Amino acid sequence: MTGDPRDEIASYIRDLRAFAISLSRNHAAADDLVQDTIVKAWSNFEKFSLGTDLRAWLFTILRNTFYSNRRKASREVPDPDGLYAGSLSVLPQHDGRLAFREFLVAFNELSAEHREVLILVGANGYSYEEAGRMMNVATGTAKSRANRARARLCEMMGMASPTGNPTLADSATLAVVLQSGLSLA
Amino acid sequence: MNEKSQGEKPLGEKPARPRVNSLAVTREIDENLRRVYQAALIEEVPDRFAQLLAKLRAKEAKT
Repeated sequence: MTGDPRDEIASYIRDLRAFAISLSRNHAAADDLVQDTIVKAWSNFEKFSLGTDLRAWLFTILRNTFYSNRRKASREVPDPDGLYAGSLSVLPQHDGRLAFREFLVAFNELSAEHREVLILVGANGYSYEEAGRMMNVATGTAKSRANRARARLCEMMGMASPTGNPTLADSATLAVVLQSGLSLA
Repeated sequence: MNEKSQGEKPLGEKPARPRVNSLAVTREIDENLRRVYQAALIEEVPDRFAQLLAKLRAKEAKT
């Protein structure tokens, strides 16, 4: 029977973790990120304006933590740990759509900044304005970043490359693309 | 039956300028992005976070 508004943090842990996994592509790193986010949110809760979007506030803390960790670390973020691999088998094959497997390969190749904006806007439905606020950039910047990220995805999947040359990251990607084919005809 | 011609473009129409951000492609991409996010979302969440919140609350109650 506590009226503590911080209790609401608990209901966003699942979302925070999904966002952290999407950003870091690594479960161990994602869990550490969520842990740090919870501690920061708890101890800085006076900075949260009650009545505003708590989820967005938590997401902002998480992504800020992610980037400041990355700046501190001399090496790059950990390698993807076979993320989502288990979920691939349960997903339906769909014709006339971007094949999900090659989409995942391409998504994991994106820069963190591109993954971030796409997860915020594309997957979570935040507006460019909201996403921009969370990423601490102007609305126009958020929009052009999202557009570039989408274009990069298409390019990596070998479709509609601006040069007409599919820019595939590696031969493994090429094999996947060749196997499944882009059934967009 | 409306037999739509598939892949038959009027000659002379240039496919050269790819419209990667056309609405249809954007929608396809966003749909896949939701799947990526959903795949992470349905994973089991470790207990450690609930425990952490309980610990934070308990620590404060003591002081």
